[in-house]
Amino acid sequence: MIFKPKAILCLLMFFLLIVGCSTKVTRVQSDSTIDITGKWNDTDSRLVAEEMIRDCLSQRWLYKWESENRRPTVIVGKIVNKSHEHISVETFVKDVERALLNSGKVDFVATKTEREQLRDEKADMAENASVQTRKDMGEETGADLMMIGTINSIPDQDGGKAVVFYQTNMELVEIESNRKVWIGEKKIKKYVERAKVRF
Amino acid sequence: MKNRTFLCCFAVTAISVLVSCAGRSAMRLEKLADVTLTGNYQSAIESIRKNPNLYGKNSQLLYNLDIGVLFHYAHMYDSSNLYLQRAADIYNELFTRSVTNEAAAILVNDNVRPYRGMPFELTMMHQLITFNYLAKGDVDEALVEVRRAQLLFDELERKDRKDTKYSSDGMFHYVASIAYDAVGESDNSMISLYKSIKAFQNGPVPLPRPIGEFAYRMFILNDRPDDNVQLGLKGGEDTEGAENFTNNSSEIVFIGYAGRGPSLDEKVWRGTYVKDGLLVVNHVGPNGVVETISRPAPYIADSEIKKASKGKTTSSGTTFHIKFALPALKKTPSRTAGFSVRCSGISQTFSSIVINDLEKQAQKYLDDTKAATLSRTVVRVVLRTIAAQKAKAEIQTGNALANLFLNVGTDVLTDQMERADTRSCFLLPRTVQIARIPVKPGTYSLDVSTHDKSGNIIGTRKFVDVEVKARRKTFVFYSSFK
Repeated sequence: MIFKPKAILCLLMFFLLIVGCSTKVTRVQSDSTIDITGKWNDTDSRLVAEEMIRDCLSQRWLYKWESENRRPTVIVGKIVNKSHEHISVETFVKDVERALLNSGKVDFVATKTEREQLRDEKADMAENASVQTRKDMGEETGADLMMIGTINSIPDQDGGKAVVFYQTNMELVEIESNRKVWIGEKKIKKYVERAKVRF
Repeated sequence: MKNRTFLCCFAVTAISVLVSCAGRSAMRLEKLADVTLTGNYQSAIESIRKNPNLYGKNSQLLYNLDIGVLFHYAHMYDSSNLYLQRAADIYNELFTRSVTNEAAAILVNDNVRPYRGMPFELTMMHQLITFNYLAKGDVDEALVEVRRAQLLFDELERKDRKDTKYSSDGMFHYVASIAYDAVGESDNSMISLYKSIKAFQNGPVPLPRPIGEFAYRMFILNDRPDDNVQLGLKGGEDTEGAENFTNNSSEIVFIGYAGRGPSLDEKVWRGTYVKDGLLVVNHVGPNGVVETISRPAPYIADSEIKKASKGKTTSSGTTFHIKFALPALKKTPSRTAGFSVRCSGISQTFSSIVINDLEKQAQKYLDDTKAATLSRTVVRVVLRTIAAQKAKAEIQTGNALANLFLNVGTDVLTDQMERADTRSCFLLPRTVQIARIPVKPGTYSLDVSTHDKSGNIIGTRKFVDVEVKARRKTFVFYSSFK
């Protein structure tokens, strides 16, 4: 058998081309940081939520409840996306809820949409469920505090270079008195550079 | 043997290019041009999905844009956003230019470049995403899109150093002003209104009088009289309905798409290029009218000419007979000129006003880019002409008949390679129109009439159960492509 260097080289290049073009998937840790486009991503969402809640739960407003040996009931209200990116606010809200609930320092109630679903379910139970298992209307836990917030961004770009500044503001408001008991903010600044040319 | 190989390579390249690129725009136009007329948007979407070859991998932006537009017409707003967002992502990815693609475009034609969309098409892409969110009542996300589009305008403005090209859009900012007003952000609403008037005044679509009157009143109402002075706005006595508006009022916003939008055709130009001299080319129209372009010949570096002719340079004054194609606007006649809307419980009839005219936008784009397209095309054609002449010289055989065939074949292939880039989203409407109906919160029905140029009614449509909440805007969309 005669080996021709040129043929081998061609074959090698062909295989490299095939391998280079094929889809490659690698499982990574869900809390690993991977930035591809520079846009707001899961890492930003998680980091902001965790840091906000850590700050929130370390402030003085909680002492009032702890001294009464009570856990406040919190609801996450509207987090308005005022940025220039379509951010999945729902994911962010869930991150906030998870961080709050896992702290064990507060109780949680379902959001407005979830409550409507639960009420529908109870209405259905009233007709169809057995008396022993039926859940009654009017027994819901009212929230003491509502968490609201905004996600803002200031982009500054010129050609392939961009600086994006995200500022997330969150506030905890007492529902009965409209008193703000905590205000937190988290800032993220990113520098994104895009290549002008590729092969 | 060497000559034959060269000829084969040349022929294969040319044929593959012809097959892959040249016919697609025409085929798309032939297959899809009438879908807006029939109103059968979903079957058109299916047809596109089944024939991705109608677009090819270099027109993925157009593929997603077309499907997104059709879903919007079909009132399937989530699906529309899915495709339009994809188109927007593709546009962002195309910021990085491929060296190989750009090089291929120099050798072949502009069709081998990825389609990046015309600026007004990109605005329409963002506008339709905004409309989709507004149709769903999700004003917050609509405003995210407004902010995203502003980045595009900033980028266009940055590129346009002479401040003469399209870099802002009256329609987009006007709708943004309505969306900001819907969430009670009066300052942002006024800023968008200011930008809107400015864009109308600088752009190809004239400022509609009612919008000027409305802006005048709103600037006064919001304690911004200086804006009126800067924009040269004057209040009128007979402002139709403008006095009914206040900040954050409830209203029905009717958006009408009237007529079929323009497509692009190619105009063939023939003439002479004199190296370091003059370029004179003519186009003979179907009615026999001759158009002439005469300007200093685009400069081609000697090194490029050397490469094209493999060693032989051309001196100043060398002439080449050239033939090339440039994109030209192709208007599609439509009967629909406008709409009138009657709302239950209100005696007044509201006439729609034109907030965007895509024929005018497309013509402005072609005018803005004509010089650059012409220079690029001429340079490419001259280099290819030199290369073809060299090729013909090298493949000469002893047989006269064979020489004749080879010469003619080379000329035909060279000729056919030069095609204008006629890709465009011709599914967009000719005009976008608006009618704003201030109402109290409640449920209404709307009677929409479509009019031709003479004001005759050519179609009607009833919308029922149009619900308007306090301090909210309800958007209603209707299209007539007759």
